[in-house]
Amino acid sequence: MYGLKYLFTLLAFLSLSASAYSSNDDDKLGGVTVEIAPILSFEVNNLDVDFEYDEFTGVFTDKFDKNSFKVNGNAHWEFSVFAASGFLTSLDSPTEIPISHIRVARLDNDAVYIDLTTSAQVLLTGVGTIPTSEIKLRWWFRNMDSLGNLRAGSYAVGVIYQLTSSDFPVGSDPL
Amino acid sequence: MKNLAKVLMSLVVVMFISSSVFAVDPPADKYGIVTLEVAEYLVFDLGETADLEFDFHKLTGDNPAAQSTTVYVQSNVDWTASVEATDSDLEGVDGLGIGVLTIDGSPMALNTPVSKSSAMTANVSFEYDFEITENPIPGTYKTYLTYSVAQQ
Repeated sequence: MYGLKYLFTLLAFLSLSASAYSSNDDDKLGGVTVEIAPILSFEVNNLDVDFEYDEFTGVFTDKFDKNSFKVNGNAHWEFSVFAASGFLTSLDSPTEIPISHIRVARLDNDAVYIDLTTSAQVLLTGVGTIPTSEIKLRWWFRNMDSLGNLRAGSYAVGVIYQLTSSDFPVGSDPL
Repeated sequence: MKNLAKVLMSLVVVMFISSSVFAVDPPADKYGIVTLEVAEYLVFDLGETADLEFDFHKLTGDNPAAQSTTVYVQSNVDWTASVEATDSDLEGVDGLGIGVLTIDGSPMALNTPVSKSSAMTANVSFEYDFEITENPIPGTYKTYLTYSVAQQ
């Protein structure tokens, strides 16, 4: 859709500009410039990540939960994941679980990972549309034994998925 | 003049289409939630001294030392402990009171749950004060006890 608009814009400018010039025999010099602006969007499949933990046996159900994201566009990008708070908190007990016990990594490359924090940390970088359909991430909890006796219940923390790019004009406002 | 007007019109058209084609804002953040469900568990066991035996000699008048058993609990929920007896008296030649029951040093009534908050152990003890009892007839007195731990 955007390609067609570019073409029509260019054709309109060229045709109208040509008719503005006189039909002298002498050549006239002009120029055409097209400014391509950066375009970027991303989607995250499975925004919420769910775990179940049997503390007595130490067994996680779905210890490795997964989600994925895809990028469409033409700009350089950096993908970050960070938490809204430093702790997973429970609504029915005072116990908290530090988010530092959560790790996020690429599913196809364990060496690329972050330990979750409240600051944006770049997990992946790229340029333009991801050629494969999605980049898969995996989440898991680490060092749960260091937490001692956890009170039973549900714990939760909000997470933010962020795509940034240095190709956008300085001072552009986020949507 | 006509040509100048055409150029100006084309410029207006270009600017109008450009503003709707080119995105100048980076994509907005997306939000999710990480949740962890920690399952409940409650496991308990008794110490080795679940059976308590007392010897009392009225002649010396010394009360037997208190004896106790330990209830071991592994849990991540609040729980209650209780001790039930088949009878409020020890059965024997003649009835004899069950004695004074305590849990972690605090009085504990028979058949009455006592609340605990994820504590790992509880010490249940029995004491007898024969100075306040009548002269018991010699013999063996016993009762059966049931220790219970349940999620609160």
